[in-house]
Amino acid sequence: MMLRRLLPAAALCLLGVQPALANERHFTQSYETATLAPGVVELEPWATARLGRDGYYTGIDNRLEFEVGLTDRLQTSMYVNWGVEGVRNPLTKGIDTTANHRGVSSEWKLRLSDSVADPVGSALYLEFTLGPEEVEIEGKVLVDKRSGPWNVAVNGIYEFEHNYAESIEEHKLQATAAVGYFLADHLSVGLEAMDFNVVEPQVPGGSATLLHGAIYAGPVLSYGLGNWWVAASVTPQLYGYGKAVVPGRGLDLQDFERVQARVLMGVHL
Amino acid sequence: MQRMSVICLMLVATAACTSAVPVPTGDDAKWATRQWPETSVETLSGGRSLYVSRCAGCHALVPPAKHSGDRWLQEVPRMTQRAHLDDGERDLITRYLLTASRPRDAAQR
Repeated sequence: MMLRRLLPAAALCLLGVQPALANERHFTQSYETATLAPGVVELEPWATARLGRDGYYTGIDNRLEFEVGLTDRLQTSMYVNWGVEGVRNPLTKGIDTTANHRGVSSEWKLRLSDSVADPVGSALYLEFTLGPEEVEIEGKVLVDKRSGPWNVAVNGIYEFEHNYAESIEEHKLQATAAVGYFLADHLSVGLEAMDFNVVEPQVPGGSATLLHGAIYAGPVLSYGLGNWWVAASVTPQLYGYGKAVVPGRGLDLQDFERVQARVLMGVHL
Repeated sequence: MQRMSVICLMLVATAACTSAVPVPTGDDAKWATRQWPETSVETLSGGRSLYVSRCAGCHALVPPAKHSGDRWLQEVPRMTQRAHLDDGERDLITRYLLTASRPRDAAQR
């Protein structure tokens, strides 16, 4: 009897009736164009599991992000990145784990148009990371659209990494795409795909060369209510390309993981 | 990947054909002047701009037609403090939302 009374109440809480938060993320890899209102502050913990390479491999990347809305269209954030990796030691056959601090990042996001009011939502995104071994600059063009229960986001990404410890430079070109469907105001399900590419930049008299790349895709789920939201995805590698791809298997498990899983959470302070 | 990108772009292009937050027209202003005599298209456009810029920071914009006028009269005061709206801004947003959410038959009257 008690259960019969509690279930509808729980369902009401789950589905909610308030509008979704602006900065609520419905995808884990693709950014949407919404920005926080001026003065609004949000704390975002992230965790990304990268599982399975040739041999045993487990990587967990963590990020704690502190976001602030500056104007109607501009937000910034600071965050710290750290993680742990576990690989099998071929000599001892045991698992060697390495903890690392990947540095601090500064992110800036400028919303150019709104995904509901305008034909297409758009935004520019810039991120700087300074770590103990490398510096990174990442730029993104974000496009999204919400129409009825549908939510679509597409990101184009360029990333430059300079490892000053080993004097190595990497250029990455990436694209992500995601489609979501709102089952309720606060609950959406969808599919998300990422295309990661590492390229060698064009040299005089030559052209840019693709070193290696991989495509991932998988389901994504998001839920939010009141002052918090959460989004989670599991994306297996579907296809790899480059010299490291094992013939017949089609995956690049030397440079990329077999599966990525990510959980994001946001809490308005 | 290319095929998926094309599908996503087609979805975006399809959705882009309409705006769920309509731009005010002369008919809207005509209807609004019955409630607020000094209202013009510019007044309603100002209300729309405020709605987009101030409300989108706190939540995904709700298409005006999704709620009735009575519901908007409850929602806007509830959101006023959170969005740091002064009385004038609240009034402009209210005028726009009530006008844009009026029933279709009323829109043609």
